[in-house]
Amino acid sequence: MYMSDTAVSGRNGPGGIGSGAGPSVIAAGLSIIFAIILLSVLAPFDFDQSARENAEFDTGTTDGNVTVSEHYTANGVNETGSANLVTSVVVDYRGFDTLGEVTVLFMAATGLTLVYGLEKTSKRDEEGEGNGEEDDGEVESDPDPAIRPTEASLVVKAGSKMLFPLIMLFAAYILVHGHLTPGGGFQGGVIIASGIGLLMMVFGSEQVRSRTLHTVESLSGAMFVVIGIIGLLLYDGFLHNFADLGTPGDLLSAGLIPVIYIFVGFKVGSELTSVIGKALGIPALGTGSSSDTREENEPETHSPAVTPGGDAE
Amino acid sequence: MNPFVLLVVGLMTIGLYIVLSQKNLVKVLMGLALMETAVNILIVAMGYTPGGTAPILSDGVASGAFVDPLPQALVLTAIVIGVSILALALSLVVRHFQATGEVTLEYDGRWDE
Repeated sequence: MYMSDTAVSGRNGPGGIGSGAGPSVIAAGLSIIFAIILLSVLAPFDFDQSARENAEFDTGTTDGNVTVSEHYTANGVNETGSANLVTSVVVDYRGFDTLGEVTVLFMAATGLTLVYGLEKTSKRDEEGEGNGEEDDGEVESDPDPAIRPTEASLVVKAGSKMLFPLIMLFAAYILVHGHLTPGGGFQGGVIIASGIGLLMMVFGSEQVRSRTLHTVESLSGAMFVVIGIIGLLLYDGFLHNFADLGTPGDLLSAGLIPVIYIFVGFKVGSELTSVIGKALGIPALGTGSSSDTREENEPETHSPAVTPGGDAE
Repeated sequence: MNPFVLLVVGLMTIGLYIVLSQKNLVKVLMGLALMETAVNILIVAMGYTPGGTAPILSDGVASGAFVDPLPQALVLTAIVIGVSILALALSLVVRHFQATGEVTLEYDGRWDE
């Protein structure tokens, strides 16, 4: 059975364009037909005025025929105190939407953890069964030099140490000024994750404790919900902006918007950091010194030269 | 014709062709990401107002000269969710590669063992 496997794996070509010309031609034809249909649908559409003429999305809360967008541009600054109207929509008018968005990100990070957690469980089961073929894990412990993690050079180490505070400073600026300038929690969180990801690539992803990441993520997510529930219990509704709005354009303005956005930033940053850490833990992809997971690469290195060595053990 | 229409249709077609023709799962995900970008550009372009500036209140900008902030906020959500989906899908591709040694979905009898 094993020999047939290795014989089949020789057929392992690069997954490029399909084997025959047939599938590619069909795909090209379908794509062109789709392009023509899409073009004929979108061509008569006048982008410039569509937002103004679609008065059917009437809020009904203000004077007469006003679309949601017109209401936001006309009254957004006065109602939310945020100079950045996109932020006022994201965090204030549609704050509940943003809570769901953060939840989707959390679910994706959890799913990633689940996918890599399955790997460890199945490996443990294989070791428990102890069939003879698993012995070639001994061979795999000496991996291909091309995929063995190497230590970063001095220039990379020193440079990343110098860059890291600057990246964090930039992230703090983007995070805190979300209601004044382009940016905010999601963008700042991504910058935080990229800074920590740089350190993880240089010094190894084991340096970051995942428990700390989970604590930060859980606390900031819980604070988002707690702020919303305070508004629900004491004021008008969920995520009601009950703090002092201040003067639009000041750093301390827009009430709860900067507070919520900072929590969102910490949550996104810790989630994406754990995602990067998981990705770096994959053998042959990062610096994770996970020699015990190395044997998961076994189908890739199935050459006839390797398998007899495993049997000799 | 609006140049955004050509951009959106072009990106969408390229993405669809990649998804239909490629067998490499990483390339298929690239095609999906391209199609997602096309949709995001379309939504943002729908909110454009002639002569409009970024919807940020600052000195010397009249409050009526803004482009529509609502599609931009929606696309911000769409981008974040697209990143989540892409990360999860890529992790599944890596897991598939670890299990079978391939990044395609072609069946070659190895799963029988």
